[in-house]
Amino acid sequence: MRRWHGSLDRRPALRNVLGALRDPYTYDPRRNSYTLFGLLWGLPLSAFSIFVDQWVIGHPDRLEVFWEQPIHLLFLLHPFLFGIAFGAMGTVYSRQDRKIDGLLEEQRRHLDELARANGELQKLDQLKSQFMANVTHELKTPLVAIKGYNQSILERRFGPLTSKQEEGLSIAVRNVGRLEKLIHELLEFERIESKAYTPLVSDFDLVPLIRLVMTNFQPEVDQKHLTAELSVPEALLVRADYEGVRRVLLNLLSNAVKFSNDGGSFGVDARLAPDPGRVQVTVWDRGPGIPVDAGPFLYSRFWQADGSSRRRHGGTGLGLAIVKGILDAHGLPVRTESAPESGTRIQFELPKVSPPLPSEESSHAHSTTAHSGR
Amino acid sequence: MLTQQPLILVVDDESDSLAYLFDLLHNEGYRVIPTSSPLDALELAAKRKPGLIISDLRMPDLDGMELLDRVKEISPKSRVILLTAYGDRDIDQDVIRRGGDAMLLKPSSNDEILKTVRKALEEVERCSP
Repeated sequence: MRRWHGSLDRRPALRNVLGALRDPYTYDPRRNSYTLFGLLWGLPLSAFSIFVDQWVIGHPDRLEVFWEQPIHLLFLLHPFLFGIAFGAMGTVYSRQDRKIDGLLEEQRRHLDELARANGELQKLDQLKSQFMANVTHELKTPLVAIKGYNQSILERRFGPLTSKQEEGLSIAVRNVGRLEKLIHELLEFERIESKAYTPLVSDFDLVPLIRLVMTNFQPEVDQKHLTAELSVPEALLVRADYEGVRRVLLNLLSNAVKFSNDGGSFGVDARLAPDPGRVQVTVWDRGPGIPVDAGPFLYSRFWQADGSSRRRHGGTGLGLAIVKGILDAHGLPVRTESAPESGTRIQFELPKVSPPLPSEESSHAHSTTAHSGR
Repeated sequence: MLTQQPLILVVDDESDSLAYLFDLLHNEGYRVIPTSSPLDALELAAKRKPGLIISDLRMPDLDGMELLDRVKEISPKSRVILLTAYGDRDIDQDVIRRGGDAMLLKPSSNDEILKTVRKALEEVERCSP
């Protein structure tokens, strides 16, 4: 598998060789075996050269010529030259190998570290889910008695009330509702995040659902003198999780209402999408819009465009993460268009259900009759 | 013979939630026995055959689901409503499949609780000879 494809670094060969010989990190005891290999190859070559030399000068039996002309002794250098050459080549070769091995080893170590870190993160995530589930459960438990008793007293189940008492209690009950909503949001987000949410798909008419969700915001709409604009056809049959779509609309409209300036307008637009077989839903407002640099974080959990302590709008920052989670589970995209100071439009699509065509129905009926007639 | 009002057994290990449920139902004129122990609840269910049992889902010793199963064995005519802080359709369906009547999400409003109780008791009356 390991193969040397030339030098890894493009340094001149000689410098590479010298560098390899000097480098203690890449020093390889095998280098000696390369040298020995060179020496062994050099020996017969020496003998062969001497023989050829003797034969050429015509005195194969006279070895005295070596002492008379010592230049011929240079042939004896063959083994050493070969030893050096092979030793150097071996070193360079093994150095490349070792470098590759070293890099691979390093890579493996990093991968192991990553895998370990990932495992730890997953464990932590599991712990976090468990923790969130426990915390929300523990938060909800005391709410049972708080909400229940306050409501009972407010409903005069335990006797008459003065108007001041009634006013105070209704504020308390309203705020318990707010707290309950926050806890519910956290719990729901946790379920989506931990992939425990699976859409329960059915066919339903989207229009009454939009109208129903809109009515939830009437108190805020009245309080902030907002204009709600609804642009929907008579009916739009879609195939999705009813409860999921309701949560999506609730969260998007809650944002639209929350971020609308007093006296402003917001609305929902639902129509057939250009893409056949899809219904397009747009929830829009004319609020402050989303800052340009916020794009990548928009759908991440806990994130709010203004996260400072002086921010004007409350909330957990989970609304859009929930929206994205629900639509992701359906395999549907969500798009955002926003310009600072001119509002936000959030758009998603749902699969349309086409009502069976009358002609199809009649042909079906016809074939059934034909079948039964036989 | 005087037709007696059906008995309601309320089970919750949280004493305050238990007190609230007791007060709410008692105030409405129902006959209510509160208990904070699911094991005591089983004993009471066997002895008194309550028309309706309202129980928390998450309890030590015995959780609401197990209680539901055991109640259906020892007092099959008793109706069961479970309360939970987790809203989950899977659990909802599980409760119905195991013979429970309804699953209420905590904290539910008074009206919601009373409506569900009324509906369950109507069933009890309809089924009793």
